[in-house]
Amino acid sequence: MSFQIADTEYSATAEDVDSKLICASENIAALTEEMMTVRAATPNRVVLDPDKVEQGLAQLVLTVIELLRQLMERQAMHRVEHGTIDDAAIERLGLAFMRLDERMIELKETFGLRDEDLNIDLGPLGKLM
Amino acid sequence: METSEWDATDVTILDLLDRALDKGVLLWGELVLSIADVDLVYVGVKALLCSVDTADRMRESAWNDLIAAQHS
Amino acid sequence: MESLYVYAIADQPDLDLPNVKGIGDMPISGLRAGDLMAVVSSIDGSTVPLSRANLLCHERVIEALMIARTVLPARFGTTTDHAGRIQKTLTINDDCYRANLERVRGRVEIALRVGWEPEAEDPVARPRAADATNGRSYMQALLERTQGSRRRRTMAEELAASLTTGLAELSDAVVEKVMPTPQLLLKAAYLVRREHVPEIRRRIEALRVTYPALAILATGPWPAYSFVEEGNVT
Repeated sequence: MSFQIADTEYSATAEDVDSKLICASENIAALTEEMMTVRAATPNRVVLDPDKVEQGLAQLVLTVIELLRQLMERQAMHRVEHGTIDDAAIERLGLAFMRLDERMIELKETFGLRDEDLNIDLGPLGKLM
Repeated sequence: METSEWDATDVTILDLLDRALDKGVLLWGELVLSIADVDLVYVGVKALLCSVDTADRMRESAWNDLIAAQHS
Repeated sequence: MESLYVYAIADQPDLDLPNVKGIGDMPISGLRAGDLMAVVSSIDGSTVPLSRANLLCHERVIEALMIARTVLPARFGTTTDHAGRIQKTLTINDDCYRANLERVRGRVEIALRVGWEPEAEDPVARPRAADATNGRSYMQALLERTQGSRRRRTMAEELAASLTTGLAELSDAVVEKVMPTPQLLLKAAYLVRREHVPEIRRRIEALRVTYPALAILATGPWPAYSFVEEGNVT
């Protein structure tokens, strides 16, 4: 079934949806991979499936921690670049970030979560990672 | 979702899928989609942000559980 | 229990509905609220499985409506078990939806994705604690990463701008995201008047020829999915 409006044709049957392709260069394999992955992983949706409540909650918590970690890193980098932080504080902060990194790796492993699972979409701010 | 239904070479329908699931008017905060007979609840970001205090409470109790698990 | 599936919000509620079937081969009908209507159909149960057939059906109904009307496509899977909720949301958000309809009247959406392979010289991965000898060296690695990411982003933004100027100028509205993921240089949607579609197609094809190293995928015309602002969710 296809419809004609002015010079633009609309169609949305299984066979005709191919007509919606405007341009596809040869090397789009990575793009389609990404589109398939997004559907399969749905990282920015919290799945509250009863069998996976624990993992879902861990995902929520760790996403928030990851967000905070990035905010703190950003602020630390800003201070380093502007020279508003002394050497002792750099060392302390560095150690704290190292510990946080180790802890995040452990927690993700405990709950079977990958980086992608925490990669929430912050809308206009882009993805978390 | 039957992966055989969604062919990686079928780019137009994948693009439509991305569009129709992520964009379009969101009439209310929660949509229920079922895939392979499993109901998934999509909590819209806005709706999630509106119940921040609920998220706070969840976070606190989940965090406490995690800490307890670490120390045991 | 019977529920309703919502395909779209449309104008001209007095106009006849197109002869197109909804999901599960059910007839479509209009729920009116003032000058707006929601186009719905009855469904079995309370959810609609995400299948290829249902997605195409969703799209088919919307495109059929677009022949004679201006349409705001709903997100796939929008269902409710009482019609009153639909009418309520239409009433509460009447101004918002009418403004949306004006924005998309006579226009369609063209979608663009551009993939790239940036030079892997700059460090953008997070440094691992295990690799650092002390706090200071870890902070140094974080700093190099911050600066590398910044350089990459600037490169991406400049390249994206050169790709899209010609497309944006044909559009009434644009949604663009530069580097939403590391492999995706650009993900964009353009709201264009129907009469500009042939020209924008030509310009996109010209991009493909000019930038052979980039992976370019463009589709459309689609209903204006990316250009509908949400009202207040009820």
